[in-house]
Amino acid sequence: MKPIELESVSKCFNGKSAVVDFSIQVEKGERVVLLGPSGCGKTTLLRMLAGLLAPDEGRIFLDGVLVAKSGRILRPPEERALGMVFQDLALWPHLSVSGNIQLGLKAHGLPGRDRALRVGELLELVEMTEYADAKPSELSGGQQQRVALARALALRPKLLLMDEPLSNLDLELNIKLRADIIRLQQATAFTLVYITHDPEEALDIGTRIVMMREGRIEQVGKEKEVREYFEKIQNRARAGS
Amino acid sequence: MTAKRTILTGIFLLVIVLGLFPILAMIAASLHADGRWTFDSYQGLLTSRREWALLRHSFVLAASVSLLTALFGVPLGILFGKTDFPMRRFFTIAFTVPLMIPPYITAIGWADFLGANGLFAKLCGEAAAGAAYNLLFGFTGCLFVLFSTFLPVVILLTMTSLKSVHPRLEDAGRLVTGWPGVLRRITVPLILPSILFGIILVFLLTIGEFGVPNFLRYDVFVLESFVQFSAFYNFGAATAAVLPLALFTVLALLIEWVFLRERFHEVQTVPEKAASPVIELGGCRTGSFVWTAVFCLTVVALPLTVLVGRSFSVSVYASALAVASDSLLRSLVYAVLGASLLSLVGFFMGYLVGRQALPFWRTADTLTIFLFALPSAVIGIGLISLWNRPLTNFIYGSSTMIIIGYLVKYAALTSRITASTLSMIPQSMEDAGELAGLGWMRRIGWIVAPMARKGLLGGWLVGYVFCLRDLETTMIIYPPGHETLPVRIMTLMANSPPERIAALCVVMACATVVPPALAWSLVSLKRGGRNHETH
Repeated sequence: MKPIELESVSKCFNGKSAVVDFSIQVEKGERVVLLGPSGCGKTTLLRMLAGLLAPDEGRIFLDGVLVAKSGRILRPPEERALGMVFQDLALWPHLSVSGNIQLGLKAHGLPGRDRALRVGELLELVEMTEYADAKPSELSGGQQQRVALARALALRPKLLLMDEPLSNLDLELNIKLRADIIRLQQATAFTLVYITHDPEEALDIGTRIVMMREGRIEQVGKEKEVREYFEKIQNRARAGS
Repeated sequence: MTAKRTILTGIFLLVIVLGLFPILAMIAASLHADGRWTFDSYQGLLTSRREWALLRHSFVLAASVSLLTALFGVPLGILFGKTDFPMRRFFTIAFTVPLMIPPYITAIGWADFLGANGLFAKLCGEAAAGAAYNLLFGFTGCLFVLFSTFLPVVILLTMTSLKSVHPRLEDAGRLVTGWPGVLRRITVPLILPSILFGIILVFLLTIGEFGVPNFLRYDVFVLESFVQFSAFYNFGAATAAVLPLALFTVLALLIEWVFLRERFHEVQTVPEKAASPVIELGGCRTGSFVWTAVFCLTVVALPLTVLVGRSFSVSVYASALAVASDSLLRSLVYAVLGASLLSLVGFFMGYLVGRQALPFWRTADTLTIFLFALPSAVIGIGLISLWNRPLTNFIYGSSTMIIIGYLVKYAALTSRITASTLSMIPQSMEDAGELAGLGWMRRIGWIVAPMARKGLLGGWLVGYVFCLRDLETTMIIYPPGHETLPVRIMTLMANSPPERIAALCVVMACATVVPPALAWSLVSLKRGGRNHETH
């Protein structure tokens, strides 16, 4: 039973194709990176996996369960047991750091003591214990990033989706947080689907890299294939200019 | 001094002179009598049990209306602004109609419906109608009519603030809980400052409302100052009587300032492309539609339909227009003039506030909101204190007084609409114009105003509606021979046949609602045509 199976998934917006006939299977514990330029359909794909969008065509299975097919969401986001880190992090500004982390736990009816324990564990995991009562606006970019990660892991998801989470950070912090993400993934053994447009970041994080163009898979592989893909893009850009 | 600084400072000073000076002049006048400073006017204030009872009436009525509008307005705002509810645009407009017309017209409609010769008596018998009629004249009637009038304030503020919640914040919530949980724990807490602002606004509007309590014979504090002013012409006592209302306003705005203002900034700015997720009502769609339709028919359509039914004759309209056509014409002219000036002043005030263009932008914003929330009786008496002097009698005795009254009272509306429109126009658009060598006035005329034209039109229409429906301010300050239609209806009510009053109410409602509806349709038609061309 694969954590993720996509069968011929397509999605259009106002007649324009965002994702076209996309199929993929992801193994348990894999770190799959979707790499591609802006507008190639990466985020649309991730939002369909999360249940925030329904595919126009095709089927999506999570852990062998059909969760969406041809225009219908069969299992809503909150029942998919997955975590997600958004590009702009989407930390709830009216809640503290611990409030952000425990909202999901509260919604799932976890008793107060267990919630506090779980929040403590997660804050320790992302090294943010002393900021439990701070508001997101009081944190630096890197700290906000860690809180978003802790929040996404609060319900112990088997699958974590990350939508260009490091794109707004400086290079030094970006590289440090890549290492943190890998450390956390190895510690908690979730399956990761990670989006980026940066080949270096993709190579650092991914165990498999899916290169996308115009809503389709262009190439799948690791270092060699990414280099080839990067060269292809450079050639295309030169030819275009 | 640059053109920008000169114009914005000039407009700000104009609002101070027209709006704040009258209040100060009013207070000074009440403290000065027979050539000496005295507290005589204030000595009797709040010493009688009657005054305290009136104040209690005002407070309880305003608090009840605020609570009720919040209870119904927030869910309706979410229903229209966040879900796939059918005909939500139609219902939004329909619920807004009572706010667009003078509230006492709604009260007249209800009185007609529940009266001895009304439809309710025919349907349910005279005994039931009598009981309902008695209920209408008093607290319950005031509560119901003012609730239906101010309900759209909360609905519209809820809908607007929902648009400012970043969709990703809700998406993040949807991963862990269903829509009810997302609304309860994320969306509503995020828009709470706007909701509370709406509640405070409704509270203040109710406190200052004169027409409905006067018609439904429910004694509230604002009537006291009207009585002191118009019946006894006791200027000092009238000023003293409006002072507690002014203090209520200051207190409420202070609460808003201290507890809410900073929290507005917690809501993230939504990028234009980010589509807000829509809640699918599924099985609840039909039920909620039926409930809302029945509620809308009862609260909005019924009183107006009764008035149309009562006046359904050409001769009635002919006789109504014969006695009030001059007032109608004046109302329209003053409303157009008032709305145009409001748009101009509101645009620059809105620019000052929206762009935080000069250090005193926050003071300017607070001042306009304060004047809007201040009961009209305070503004009216203040304006008379300032302008009723030999030197300025040419203004005091002319329709300019009415236009000044509109400017003072409603500048906040056009200012806030402009500020909100400007928040959607990036500063970089102006910066690019500046780099291209355009001066500030040209940047405003060539870049900002054309880009903000839809918001400016919206501001003009809102200004037109509020100027046209105004009763309280006009009633105090209108010079002889300049009475507007809402005032004329009010004065005719005592000795005119109900059919004529109903006809005038319908004319008033049409004059208020039809021009904005036509303008809206024209804009939609033009937009539709343009979309068609691009396809």
